[in-house]
Amino acid sequence: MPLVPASTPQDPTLALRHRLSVFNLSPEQLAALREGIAKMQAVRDNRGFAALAGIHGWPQFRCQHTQEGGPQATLFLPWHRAYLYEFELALQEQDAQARLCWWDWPASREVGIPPAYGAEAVDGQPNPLASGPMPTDVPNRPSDWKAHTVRTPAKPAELPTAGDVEEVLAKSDYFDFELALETQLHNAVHGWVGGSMSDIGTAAYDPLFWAHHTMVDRLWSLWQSQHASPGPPPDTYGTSLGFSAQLTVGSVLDTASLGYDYAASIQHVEVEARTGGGG
Amino acid sequence: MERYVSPPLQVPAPSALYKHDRVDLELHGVEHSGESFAVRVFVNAEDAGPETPAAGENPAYAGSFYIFGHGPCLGDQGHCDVRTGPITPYDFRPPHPLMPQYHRLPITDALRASAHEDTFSVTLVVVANHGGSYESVDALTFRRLSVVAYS
Repeated sequence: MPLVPASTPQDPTLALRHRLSVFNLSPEQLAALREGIAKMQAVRDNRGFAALAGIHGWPQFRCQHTQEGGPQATLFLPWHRAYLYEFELALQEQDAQARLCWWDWPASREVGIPPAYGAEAVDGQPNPLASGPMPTDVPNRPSDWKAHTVRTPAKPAELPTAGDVEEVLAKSDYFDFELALETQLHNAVHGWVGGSMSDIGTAAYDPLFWAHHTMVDRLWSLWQSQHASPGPPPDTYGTSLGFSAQLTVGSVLDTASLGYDYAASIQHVEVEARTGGGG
Repeated sequence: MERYVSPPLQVPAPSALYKHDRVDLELHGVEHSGESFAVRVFVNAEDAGPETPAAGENPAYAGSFYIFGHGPCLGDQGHCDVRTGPITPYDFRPPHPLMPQYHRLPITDALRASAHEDTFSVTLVVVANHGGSYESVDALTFRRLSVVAYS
């Protein structure tokens, strides 16, 4: 009985998408991700990478982060879950096998940027995960504005530790958890990457942004299962998150209802279909 | 500012500090219209600077606030003027992206390790990742600092 990597389900439209760690992607899964991102970067309309990046930062700046009034006043986690959902669907329109993957920060404290995202070239071609085109129609560009996203990562050992992550996950109050996840871990990693990732206006143009936020979303999912609570208070469930799918806070609480979950790794065992009536 | 040293702050219920579950430092009205930066927080270490160890082995280090900055204004004139509220009763848009922020950091352990008087001080050291290393920057603006004890 052969043990094989993840295979295509019988009906991929009904199967739950498993988002994996970038470190556990098979060569085929990584190739699909690169293919999908490269195709998105080439699309110049509302299905393209730039159009979706432009929702978070320049020019739309619709992202939700902490603000005066404290965590009760923010939609940081639901908004970004809906954002990833829209992005992953657009990604799959370009390559049906492509999935978002998560950047395990503590596992990167020796290598820094994951090699899948750090390598400048793959098979002699530019790696679409290493950088992305920056917007050009920007009236007040700084003098050091680049055509593509850049990174200036700090020392790998300055990424969050497993203990840092566990400490945040252990917070029993949702607002305590949300604020710590956003401002301690998420913000720190944006600043650690530096360059385009360190400004709200340009961060989402870097392909690494999407793996970073998938990690954030995964931690919310882990917190939900560990604390047996969705998190946001019920009086926010009807709040619109403003995407094309008309998602609300209440409709993004359960990842399975959006068609995905988080897995550390996957193995499938292919069983040969029996023919005839044998017994 | 690059650095801030608080005036003497009252240790919460000094005779019963260890009974508190948690003591938080809050920053209100934090501006985030420029680059991203970190605010390293030290308790009773008024000389702390960018080179002061900011890790678990320094008991005066309480932790850091991290601010994800908006970046430079990329738009036309007026793009980054903060709209402070609805412009009509029918304005249901979310708050302006540059509305000031609120941040909170538990300082309980650092306070327990160093508070031997009735008062203590908090030193904020502001650094940013410039080309791969953290350097002192003049990036922090905030309106109010609060110490909140929970028991």
